[in-house]
Amino acid sequence: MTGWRNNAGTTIDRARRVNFTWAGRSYEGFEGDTLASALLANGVSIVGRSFKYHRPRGLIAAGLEEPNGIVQLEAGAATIPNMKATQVELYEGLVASPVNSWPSATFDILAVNSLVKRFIPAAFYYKTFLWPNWHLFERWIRKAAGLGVAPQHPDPDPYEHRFEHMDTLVVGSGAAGLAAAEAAAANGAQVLLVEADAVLGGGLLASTEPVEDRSPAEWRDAALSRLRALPNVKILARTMAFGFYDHGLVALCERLSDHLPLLQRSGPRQRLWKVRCRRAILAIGAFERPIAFSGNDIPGVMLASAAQTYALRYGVVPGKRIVVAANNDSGYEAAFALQDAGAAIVAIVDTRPETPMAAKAASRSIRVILTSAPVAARGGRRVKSLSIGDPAGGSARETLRCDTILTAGGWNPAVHLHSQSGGSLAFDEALQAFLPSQSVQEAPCVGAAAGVFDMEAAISGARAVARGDKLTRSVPVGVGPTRHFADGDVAAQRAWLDFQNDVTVADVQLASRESFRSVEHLKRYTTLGMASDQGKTSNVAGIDVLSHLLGKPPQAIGTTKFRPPFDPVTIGGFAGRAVGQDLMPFARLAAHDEQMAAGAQMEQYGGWLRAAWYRKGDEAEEAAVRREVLAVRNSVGLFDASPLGKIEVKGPDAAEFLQRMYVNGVRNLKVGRCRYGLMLNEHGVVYDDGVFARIGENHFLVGTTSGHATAITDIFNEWLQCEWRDLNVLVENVTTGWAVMNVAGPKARDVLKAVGTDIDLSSAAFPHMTYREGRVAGVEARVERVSFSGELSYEVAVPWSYGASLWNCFMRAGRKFGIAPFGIEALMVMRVEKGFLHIGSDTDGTTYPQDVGFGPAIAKKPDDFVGRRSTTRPDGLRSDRRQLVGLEVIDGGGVIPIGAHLLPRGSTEPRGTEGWVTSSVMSPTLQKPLAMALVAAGSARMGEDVRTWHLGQTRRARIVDPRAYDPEGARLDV
Amino acid sequence: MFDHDGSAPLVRRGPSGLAGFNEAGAALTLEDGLGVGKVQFLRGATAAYFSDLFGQPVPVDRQSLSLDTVEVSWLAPDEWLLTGDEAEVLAMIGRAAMFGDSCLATNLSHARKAFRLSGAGARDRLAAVTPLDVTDAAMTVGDVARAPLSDTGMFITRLPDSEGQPVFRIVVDQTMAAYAVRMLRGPALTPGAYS
Repeated sequence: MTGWRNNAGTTIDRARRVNFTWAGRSYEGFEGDTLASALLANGVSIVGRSFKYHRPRGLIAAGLEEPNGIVQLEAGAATIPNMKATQVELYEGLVASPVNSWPSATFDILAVNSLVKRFIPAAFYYKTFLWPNWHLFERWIRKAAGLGVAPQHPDPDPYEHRFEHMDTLVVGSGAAGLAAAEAAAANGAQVLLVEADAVLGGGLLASTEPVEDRSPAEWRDAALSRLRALPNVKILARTMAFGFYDHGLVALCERLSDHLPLLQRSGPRQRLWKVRCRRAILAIGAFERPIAFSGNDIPGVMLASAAQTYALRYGVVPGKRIVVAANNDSGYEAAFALQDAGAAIVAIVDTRPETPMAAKAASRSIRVILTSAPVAARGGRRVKSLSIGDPAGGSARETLRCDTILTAGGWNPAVHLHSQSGGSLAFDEALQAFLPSQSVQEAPCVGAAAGVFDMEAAISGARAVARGDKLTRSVPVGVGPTRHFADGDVAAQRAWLDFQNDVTVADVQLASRESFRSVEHLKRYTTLGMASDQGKTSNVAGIDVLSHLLGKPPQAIGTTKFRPPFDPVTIGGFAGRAVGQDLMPFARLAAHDEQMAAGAQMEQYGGWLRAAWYRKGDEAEEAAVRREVLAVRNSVGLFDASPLGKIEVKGPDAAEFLQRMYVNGVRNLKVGRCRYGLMLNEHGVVYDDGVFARIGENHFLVGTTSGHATAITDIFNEWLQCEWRDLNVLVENVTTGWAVMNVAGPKARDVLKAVGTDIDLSSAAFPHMTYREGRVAGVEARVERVSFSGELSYEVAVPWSYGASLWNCFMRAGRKFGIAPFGIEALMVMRVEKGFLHIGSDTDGTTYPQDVGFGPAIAKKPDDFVGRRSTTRPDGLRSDRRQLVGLEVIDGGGVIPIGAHLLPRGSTEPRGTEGWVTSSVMSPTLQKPLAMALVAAGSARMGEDVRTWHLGQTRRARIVDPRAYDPEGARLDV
Repeated sequence: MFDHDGSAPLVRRGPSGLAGFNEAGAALTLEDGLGVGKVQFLRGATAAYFSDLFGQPVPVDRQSLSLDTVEVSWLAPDEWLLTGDEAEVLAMIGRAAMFGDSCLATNLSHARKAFRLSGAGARDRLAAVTPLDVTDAAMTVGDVARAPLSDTGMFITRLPDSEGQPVFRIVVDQTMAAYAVRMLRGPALTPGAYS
């Protein structure tokens, strides 16, 4: 036990004690603590195990950059994996445990990995476990790797979204952020100030440096008081800006109830904000860099700024005998703060030959060892000593006994949001850090985020930027040198860069030797910066090592891409209200309730809930489908076809327009006639089909598949607005305005007649593939005599609100004919019996119209149409293209599975494919299995016997004409 | 004329299970029976035909024109949404036939569902589901817009305020009406962490 609580602490409430459980043991903290500060105060040094080597790890940071303190929070449905202890606000009854360790973090069996570390360096998994089969190892490796455990139960919490529009968004509430917000508000702007922390103030909360002649706390309180009094300023705490997108869109995640005891939570857990702002001022601060030296991951090694934060903000001192290793002045400030907090500062080890701060340290009786750098820490579960040496290299020259080592390796401005907004970065040699350079959007950085580390300069600069002036930055005080490892130095194997993902200096050296020298390749090969902290403490250090190895400046190496989110966001936050039935809203039919009452088994098809089949009594699906098919074939059935797309196309050039959009000819279609239409995309691939009717000389009703009505309307409008602006055509999608009931079967005419209509239904007056308007059961109706079942069939469309009533009307009128409602599955069986194409089942992203029998139609059509040119590319003219054919089962077996491959002729094993089964059913009408398949050169292979293969099962079939039932169409012409 | 089997004539029925709400400062009322129609003119023909059909000059873009019982709202260049008394909407659609092939007029009364959302909390409800800025500064009475409403789309117009609070008319596809109501209602709203 080394961490301890003193009497300080600016953001904890000592009057409110909080009980919590960590790794099964009870502890106590204060309100205002984080889980990290409370653990540290209770002397918990080991908070987890590393990802790969399972080395014991202690806290390094105090903020969201923490790589080691990864915890599993709570249990059951409320559990959340991989939370950072530094971000978890302590609440009464909190339960948390370390991840990636067994049986405990203090004694972990898999720490044995560390003993064989030299055999499992970076990317070892790319080179091993290949023989005999990766899958033999996969389960074991997956069990050994990884961090927390994903919840097994649905998330019990609701989440919200909120859109906001602002003149100015200020991200960060440190001194620069507060100053910027106030100055922007003074100019009249609507300002939103957001802070990821629970407490506003940023670095002011852990600083002793006076600000404009006031203490940091006084300055913060005064600024906040003024801001809260302004009507044009809105302030959000516990709100992290995690993504910066185009056109001033910034995404925020607000934690609404995470800080409350579980039983006190109500309402949404988090709110995801999408803020559209004219200007964002980024005052996000900076992250301190660790220093790479042997043993720098032993518990007790911590960032100097983090120790300062724990001491000043939470009243927690991380150790008793502390060595500070620094290359800049901020390490001295931490040393002074910790000395004031009661710790013994053994020494400040500084790589620089001189600094004015040395005298200040001396006045505090702190030993300063200049021109020195840390070489190796010693210790097992806790640091015991630090050896130091020359920054330029060489062996250690002195060992300092200590229980804590604080590192101050300089600062990296948090450039993530700036980079996400499109801004560029420039490497500053003095600071050894990447700074924001050119902005693409109105998103200036201020304060430490801009590389301005002097408090007064940061404040004045932020005010200037908020007023619209440019930020002027004085020459920064540079950092001292960094000690580097020689390539191959064994000590580099114990010098960590990425603590969470266990990446060492030696791993970067290895990657460099193996030619993974692009920073993006380095990241993927070593996993440097890929952990949940996304390299906030490791990336620049890794770039520095690579730069030194390659002899290239960091600017030439660059950084990896900064992508949202800046810090992990729970998936529930992204989902918002899009969960359960609202994950993907489905449209319901007008007669939904009636069909449910009739036994409909609803499934989703193309965004609609539709009856797949109707259960009668206790029959199973197969029996129901058979019954429905036979009812249609022998008498009459009723199908709800309302989701089929219906688009009105009107205007003097309507026929010309559709002539260009469809494979089929449209111009010569007579008024009152219908025609099947096949539509391609620009690549020539079959995209959609349907029946269009010419309902006036220049007026068409275009049918589409159910899921494509909106998309095709958009496509029509795009062509008309962007390509063919000379065509006078108007388009309107009326799909959901008309309910369509399809009455099909030999008795269909009788049923429609019984319902009552003023339309002459005789075969002569209303033949197949024609359209009529009139009244059905007293309501205006559009009726198409078209058929996808192969039987006499009418599609009767009435205004949507009459749809349920029309369904009832048909069912009543059809009762004496034994009418049966039928679903999608029965329809699919009937269309396979007829050999009708179903787009999406019998086609894929490579199917051209000539593959599904439209070659002759195209040859006859003189005009160009969308996709035509693409179909005539060499690939489209290959003689061995897969073509749609029928398959007759000849082995006496049942249905051939959809997806079964056709084996090449003479093949002895299932390698290569000549195509696959696209549709396959048991035909109740013909009482035999039927299938359709896309087969190489299929239409030229009629009568050929083939073998299919599916999951080890081989079947025999014969290639045949797909029209198995009524190939002449006699049943349609009645 | 009809060879009718004596069954009852067809009955008009809207989406089932649809109900408004009045809670937390926001009220959503279904506008049952509101007529909805759409008139499109061929490109550039609006100037010639609009006043013949509606008896008024063309309003400015993104605004609506109030007639006696019908609002005529700009949707896009040469596209107009009619909302109001259904008989009058149908009559206007019928009159549009005089423009022949230069106009496509459609009755969308069955295809759309309309709500009124009003009250002090109306904007909060909208801010949870749409990126549209509906503040006073951005949307005044008479302004119209088309915007996402969660995963569906909506037409929205600001009607005259009632008792000092904003009133919005929202028109969605009727198949998404229940979803839109659920989204606008949402879980119980919390005040958040405004400090």
